[in-house]
Amino acid sequence: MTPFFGKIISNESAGMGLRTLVIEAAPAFEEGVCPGQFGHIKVPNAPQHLLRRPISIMDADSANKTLTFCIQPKGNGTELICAMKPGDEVELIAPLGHGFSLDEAKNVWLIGGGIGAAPMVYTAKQFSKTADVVAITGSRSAEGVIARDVFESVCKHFVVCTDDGSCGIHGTVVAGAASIGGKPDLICACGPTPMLRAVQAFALEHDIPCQLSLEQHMGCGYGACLTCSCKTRDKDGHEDYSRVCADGPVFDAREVVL
Amino acid sequence: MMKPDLSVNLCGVTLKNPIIPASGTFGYGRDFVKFYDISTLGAVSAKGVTPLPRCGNPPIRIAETPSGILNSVGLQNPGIDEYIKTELPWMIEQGAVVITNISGNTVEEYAMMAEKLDKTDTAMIEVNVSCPNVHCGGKVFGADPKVINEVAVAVKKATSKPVIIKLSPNVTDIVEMALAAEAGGADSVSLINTLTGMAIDINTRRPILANLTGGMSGPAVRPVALRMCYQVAQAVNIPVVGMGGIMTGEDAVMFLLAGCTAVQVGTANLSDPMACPKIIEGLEQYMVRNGIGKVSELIGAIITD
Repeated sequence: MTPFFGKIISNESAGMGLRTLVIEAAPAFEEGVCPGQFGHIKVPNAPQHLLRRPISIMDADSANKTLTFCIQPKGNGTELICAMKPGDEVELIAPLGHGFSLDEAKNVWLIGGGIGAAPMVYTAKQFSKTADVVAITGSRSAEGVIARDVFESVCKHFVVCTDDGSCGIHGTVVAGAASIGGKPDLICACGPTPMLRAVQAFALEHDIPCQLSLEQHMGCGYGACLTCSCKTRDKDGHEDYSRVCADGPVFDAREVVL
Repeated sequence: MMKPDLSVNLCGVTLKNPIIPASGTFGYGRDFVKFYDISTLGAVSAKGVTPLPRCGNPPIRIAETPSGILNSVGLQNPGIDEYIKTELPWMIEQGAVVITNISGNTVEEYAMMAEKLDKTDTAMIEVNVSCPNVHCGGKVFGADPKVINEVAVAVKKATSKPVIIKLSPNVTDIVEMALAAEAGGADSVSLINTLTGMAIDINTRRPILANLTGGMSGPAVRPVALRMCYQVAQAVNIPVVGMGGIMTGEDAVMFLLAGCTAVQVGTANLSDPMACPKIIEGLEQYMVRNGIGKVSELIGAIITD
């Protein structure tokens, strides 16, 4: 594995200030790309930004060898990444981390809050090949609904939830999940910590296998620096810190202490 | 021109080249073997170990600052016994020259760890004196020349391995600390450890790091580190291992010219997993460009007249 330069193919608005970047990334496909993995993107032409920015893989096109990232400009680093133009080159390390795994599940709920819906796009595409997939996404308003067309085309159901009620269910993704009824044999979720906590509680209460994708301030991205910690609990109840980058970002809901 | 000779002798140990990943930025090398062969490095300064396992500080543990980073990992490590059983032999199997970095809360803890390491294949021991001294009300070991001297004496007594004392820059006069280490029998000093710093999120009004403060590193500290290395190298008669924001081969050359026998690369490993191999290559290219046959010709070769 080695960091590589990829050419920006396109950079489009995804609403609410989000940008969707498609990047040439042939080396990323050498070992395959799993749903829920991330790319660690170097801020272009900005040596003052020493750390890369960890961005979840929204989509992976193995035929054209491109990766798609949906990025929320939050500070100068992500702003510079989002300002790149088609034809520009960016350095990244990808794919990194452990993603979602379908195992033997046949009936899956994918829950994404805010930009946490982004990794669910590739997850929905992959998992819908062998399982029934329901996608539930939450956003502030109708404008923030990501990748509606993809979710509508590959999922059995697509449930939109908005904080302001401007689209779909007026409420959280947990309200959206409750509206479906029935019980999946796997839940995968990515989003803000309060949302993950609610999904975790729901899954544990109903005894549903659940995988949560976490976010943390990150250093190296490949496991060495031990800075992107999250608290985890093993089978014996012993608590320790795990590495979001290398042990995660996807963890079993039973082991994460949120 | 022939391939230049990058090898150096550090405390009687021959290193292939003077480039060493710094403790805490390289783990035990396990996360780097998918990127390159770690036996190509001069040596590896392993993630600091303590007498007992430590789970480290709560997150957030890292913040980016202009041309630098702040970290407060809190010495997360598996403890000296597990390290000796699992991590040290694994690094040696990979062909790495290992510098074991130890941290204690008392002089006795340092001596105990050095004694355990004496029977192992670690090439050297690096003593991190930037920890709070529990017998001195939590005052940092590295801020008191008397205590540095005591630690050096105790560790040297406990082992026949070469001992490097890693100095903190958070002192009024680092030269005094280096002289105290030398007087205590240290075979070498390494510097600088991180500078204590802080960052605040103005939207939440909270410190970014859960630990409030952290250690600052990266190119932002490089001029300070270089000045300290130069002053220490002028004052002591033992080899100096320099570090502080080295990102390129050219940066490494600066520290060699300032009098360092070898250099450590820290923050750059977080920025780019290939940082160390690139720095070795950059150093070699500098030597070729300037017709320098042996890297040892660069050590202390600064011209000040």
